[in-house]
Amino acid sequence: MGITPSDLQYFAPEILLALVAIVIFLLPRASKNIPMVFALGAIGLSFLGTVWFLFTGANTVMLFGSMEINAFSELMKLIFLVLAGITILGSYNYLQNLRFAKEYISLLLVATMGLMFLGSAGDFITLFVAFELVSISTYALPIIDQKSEKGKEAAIKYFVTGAFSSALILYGLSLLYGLTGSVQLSVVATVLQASTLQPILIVAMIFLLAGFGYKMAIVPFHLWAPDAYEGSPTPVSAFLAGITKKGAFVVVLKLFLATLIAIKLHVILLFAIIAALTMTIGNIVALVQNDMKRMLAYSSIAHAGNILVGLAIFTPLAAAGAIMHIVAHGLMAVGAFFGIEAVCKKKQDYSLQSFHGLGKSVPLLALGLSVILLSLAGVPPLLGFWSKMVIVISAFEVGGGMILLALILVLNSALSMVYYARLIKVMYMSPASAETAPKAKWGEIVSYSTALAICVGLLLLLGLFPNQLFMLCQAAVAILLP
Amino acid sequence: MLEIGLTHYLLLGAALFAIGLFGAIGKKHVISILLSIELMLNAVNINLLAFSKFLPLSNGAGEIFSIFVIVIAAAEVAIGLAIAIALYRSKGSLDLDKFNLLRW
Repeated sequence: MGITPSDLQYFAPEILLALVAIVIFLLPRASKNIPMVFALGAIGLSFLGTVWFLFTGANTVMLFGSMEINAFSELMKLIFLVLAGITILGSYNYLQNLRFAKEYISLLLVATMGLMFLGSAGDFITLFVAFELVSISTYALPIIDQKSEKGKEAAIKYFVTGAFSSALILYGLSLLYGLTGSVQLSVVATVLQASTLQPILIVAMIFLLAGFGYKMAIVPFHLWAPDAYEGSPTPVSAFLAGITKKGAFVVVLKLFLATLIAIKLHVILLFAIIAALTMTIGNIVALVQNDMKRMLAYSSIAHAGNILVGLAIFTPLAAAGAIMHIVAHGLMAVGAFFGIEAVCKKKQDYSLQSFHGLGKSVPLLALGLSVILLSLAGVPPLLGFWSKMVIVISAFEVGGGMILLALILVLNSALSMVYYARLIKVMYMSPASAETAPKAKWGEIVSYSTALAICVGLLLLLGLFPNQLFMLCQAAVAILLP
Repeated sequence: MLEIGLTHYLLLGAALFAIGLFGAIGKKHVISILLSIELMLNAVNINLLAFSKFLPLSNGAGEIFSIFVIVIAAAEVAIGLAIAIALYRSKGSLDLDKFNLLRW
């Protein structure tokens, strides 16, 4: 079962992205807007193709089991394409003064391609190569603006933790290979199901959890994330926090849920403890932040904990909730980072003070940001509410200690409301004189506000009609957890 | 005559990995950290090759995996050194303790 020409069509979206990324690299440096047009066109076409495969029910295994095309892989591709499209579109204003604009777009496209392969990877090698494609192409992004000193520091911190965690993941994978004699996920799952709990399996799991813990930025492996997100240019922070981090969750879904099912009980306990810690610590530290980018970084750590709750509960419903929360947080993180950039770009001051009086001076921007913040806090009827709700419901279905975990999730949502509401309060209630109030020159922030508007629109749309997304998530999970 | 078996290779791999881990956590210089991470990746290669040689079910997947690991490690080092050069140009040093603009 190698590959036939008719199988190749399923990779048309990825191949297109790769080709366009190469073409963009070869364009002359003077061309500012052509790379973006090319990239958006490629992403749009890939999106259409992926939608076609998803709704025609494409389902095949190829290349000796290393690639699987099914509802799960296509849904993941769809999610990453939409989020990457919004990020590239939103970066338009940022690229106007950037020397390495075409490299930026090209790297984003390559990273998106890697993320798309993650969903369909069927063995360790493909999984690892796809994951490293994402990591390596994003290592360079924080440093893309050569003038920014903070960006350099963010880049080195992101790179060192990223490379270190890759080595940990690889060591865990090599032990799993030794234990099972195969690199194929399906074979590994069958072998492990028959085996008992062995010390080497625990060691492998610990290495994998530590490695992916760094990539997912969960406590206690989270310390690089606030630095990387604060120091990076804001569009890059949006990409790192909203999109590449979600790639790690996709791998964990595949690897831990589908493969390590033999040690289910231990995984559940470990995930539950880490999820509770991650949510609580993320939210508590976010409370005291004055820099809004840093606050969003800690809030995205807390949301990583929310997704982990869905993985810890370990039922199909909870996993569907986790995928929904991946979508929701992707949209919220991208929207929030771009919204903050729209407000703070002019003064380059990301502290709470620069939001004083935004509700009066630029009401539309304040409204959009407020919707995103409410969705982050989990207020109905936005998508951020439904995904948490599905996770909580599934916890009650399981019962026992999971109800406690769900309770921690709900309490944390209430806690997070404190710092989200503080920003909303500052925007609407705090007085500001005419000079200090933030002003908007629409020409300078048009792309940031467009990205924010798209995210708000999608959160509202999916929040009012969550059914379709929920069914897609359930269909995807049905493949992972039969 | 002592036969060299799977255990010996795995011990070598584990020792190399532990040295790399210690270096990556303990060292403060960017280049030292890069070298330590390389050690960790090479330990992975030893593991993969040893498993591939000694496992009854082996079908050569370990060898192929190790080639991919080598390629990825090269790419990772290339971009790491590029970042290191950019940092050295602006700071004149590669000591991680000197990078303290970002604090919580």
